[in-house]
Amino acid sequence: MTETGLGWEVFTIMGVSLRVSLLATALATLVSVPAGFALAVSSFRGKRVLVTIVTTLMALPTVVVGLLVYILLSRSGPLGSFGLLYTPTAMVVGQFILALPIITAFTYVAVSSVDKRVRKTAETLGAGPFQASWMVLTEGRLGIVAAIVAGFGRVITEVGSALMVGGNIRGYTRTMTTTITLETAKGNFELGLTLGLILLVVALSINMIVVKVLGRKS
Amino acid sequence: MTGNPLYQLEHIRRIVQSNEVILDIDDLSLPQGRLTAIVGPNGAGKSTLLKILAFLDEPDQGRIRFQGRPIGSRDYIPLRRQVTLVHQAPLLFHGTVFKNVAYGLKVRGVPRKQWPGRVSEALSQVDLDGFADRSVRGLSGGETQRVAIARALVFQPQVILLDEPTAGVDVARVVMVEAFITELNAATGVSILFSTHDLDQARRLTDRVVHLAGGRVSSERQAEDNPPSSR
Repeated sequence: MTETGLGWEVFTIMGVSLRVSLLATALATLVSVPAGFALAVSSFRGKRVLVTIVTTLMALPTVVVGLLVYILLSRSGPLGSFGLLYTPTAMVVGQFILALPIITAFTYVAVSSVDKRVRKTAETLGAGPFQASWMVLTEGRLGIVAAIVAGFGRVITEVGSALMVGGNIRGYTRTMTTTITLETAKGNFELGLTLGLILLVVALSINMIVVKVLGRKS
Repeated sequence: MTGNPLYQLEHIRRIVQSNEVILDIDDLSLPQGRLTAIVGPNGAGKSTLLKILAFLDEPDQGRIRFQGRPIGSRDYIPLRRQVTLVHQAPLLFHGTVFKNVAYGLKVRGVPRKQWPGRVSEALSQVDLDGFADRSVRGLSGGETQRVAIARALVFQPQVILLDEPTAGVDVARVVMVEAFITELNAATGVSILFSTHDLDQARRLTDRVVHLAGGRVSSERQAEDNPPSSR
């Protein structure tokens, strides 16, 4: 396989896709898991409205996110001076925003479904507030893993945001989904189908992980 | 009995959101190292009192002294490490019996090397030798309760509070649980307070009985010089 061959190109595209989506998911996890947890364990006025907003944002169209990030990062935008448009960083920002509500909402559901007695029991055994919270998270870990995997599944398969803020630059910001779009438009179905197949394998792997994790739970 | 009482409660009131007073105790003194029963019907305030004694809930009014020392809000979390409450229907964490019993050691920062020995000892005290590696999923109700007690015993608390330990337990097991409670008190000298709605049971196990009704102490049978376990 040469560096100019189809194999190498596919390999590069996969690398960009995985690097961008894994980083975006990891960053979203750092924000969303604590946010989802806090939302589940706290009670405050307007909580129901906030939960509704978060769950609604799960259906946020990728092109809308792409547009917002584009406006933000374009030369005339508030963050234009950083020169991030059409870079993998811009794609990470877009995918981070897409993953946030999904991981937050699923973490909220996972933590809410943990038996309320877990915290009380941990406290009766001498756990402090942080240790008791950690125990609740630990008991809900399988649902939280599923939340993270669902977030990753969302961003690895999205095309709107990646295309708009990444620019589909070969060897730099070209991902599996943006390549499929491009090659289909060009009538070059070979690469499109190959990447489509790989994307399906990635999606299948994600599902298998979820099934295995949830299977262990049951 | 010499020294300070275990607990001294003065003018304790617990008020819920609807402004209903669910616990109203003027003066109650509970002795160290003894078996004490808290008796009352459903809604008498037994569980509320136990939560306050376990430092899991703070009264809205009044003063608590623990071993002679007045307790402030800041003392609650450290004191939870000296007292433990075993719920009526105890919840075990997912995983193995070992994980559950070792939890109290983990949160106290006890070195990991000590865990197997102490877990094994605690399980032995509740007749569950060899259960450490079992998953909690397959345990019976009685075994679950004993694991919960082992989980409390492992960190050698000064006080064990048992919320209705024989509720929902069949008659044969009631005898075993009762025997276990009295033997534990006799063997370890740990202070045990248990709640029950069964006055006969309370009298069978101890001569120190606190009656609760409508959140108030309606009567107390004073402790005799010697605890029942040493009689």
